[in-house]
Amino acid sequence: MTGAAAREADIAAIRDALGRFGRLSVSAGSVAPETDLYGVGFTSHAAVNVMLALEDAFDIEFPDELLTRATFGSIAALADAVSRTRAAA
Amino acid sequence: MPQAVESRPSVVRPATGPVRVPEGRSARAVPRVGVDLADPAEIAASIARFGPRYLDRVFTPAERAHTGDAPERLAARFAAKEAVIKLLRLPADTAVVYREVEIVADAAGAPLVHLAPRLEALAAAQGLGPIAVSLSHERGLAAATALALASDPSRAAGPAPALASESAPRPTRGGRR
Repeated sequence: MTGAAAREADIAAIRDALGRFGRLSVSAGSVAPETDLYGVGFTSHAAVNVMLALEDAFDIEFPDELLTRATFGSIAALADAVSRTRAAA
Repeated sequence: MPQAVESRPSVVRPATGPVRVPEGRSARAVPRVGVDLADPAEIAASIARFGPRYLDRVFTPAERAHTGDAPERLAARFAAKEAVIKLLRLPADTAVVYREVEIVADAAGAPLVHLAPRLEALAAAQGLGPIAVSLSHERGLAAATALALASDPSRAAGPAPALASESAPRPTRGGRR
């Protein structure tokens, strides 16, 4: 899988987790990678659930220092966090 | 009407002007407040889906023991953690580790806030005094308010210190009770 294809696969998994646990006011499939998730109904508690779902999906564990509001601010930021966590594993 | 209290010294605070605060504290102290709501049903759903992994990522052992993992009581504490975090005005790139804001009870049962050293340092850097919280839950909704005096409102939140190694211990993946 190319880097771009891997990134697309990550984003698809992130959209899936957001759809199941994000409690967004819009369909997760319609959210652009750079859209501010907190602007479409994302909450701190939903972010905890999305984090745990992503840990299950990718078999990773986010380090505490990545648990910032910025990390959960967009699909692109989440994809970056997944990449960094996987690289550090 | 007779002025029975005429000889008593006036303790009326002027409507404007510096607030009287204990010696050693800035006369510019201003209150800072944070408020948050939480849904016990969401907490219950998270426990059902993720179990101890969820509980141990968000709540400390003392909080779990104190609440007996009851969703409405945990929801009130989650709201309190969020209210305290709002009060701390953390920059967007500062880690939010919910176990680092612990809501326990004093001997009389009143809620008490314990901050991990990293957050304590952030609070001190902003001149924040002790944080008081009030919790409530009723019919499917939990709420909390946090309040503290900021001794110098001109001091904004500085850059976050690195994660302190003595911060709350992290639960291991795989779950345990």
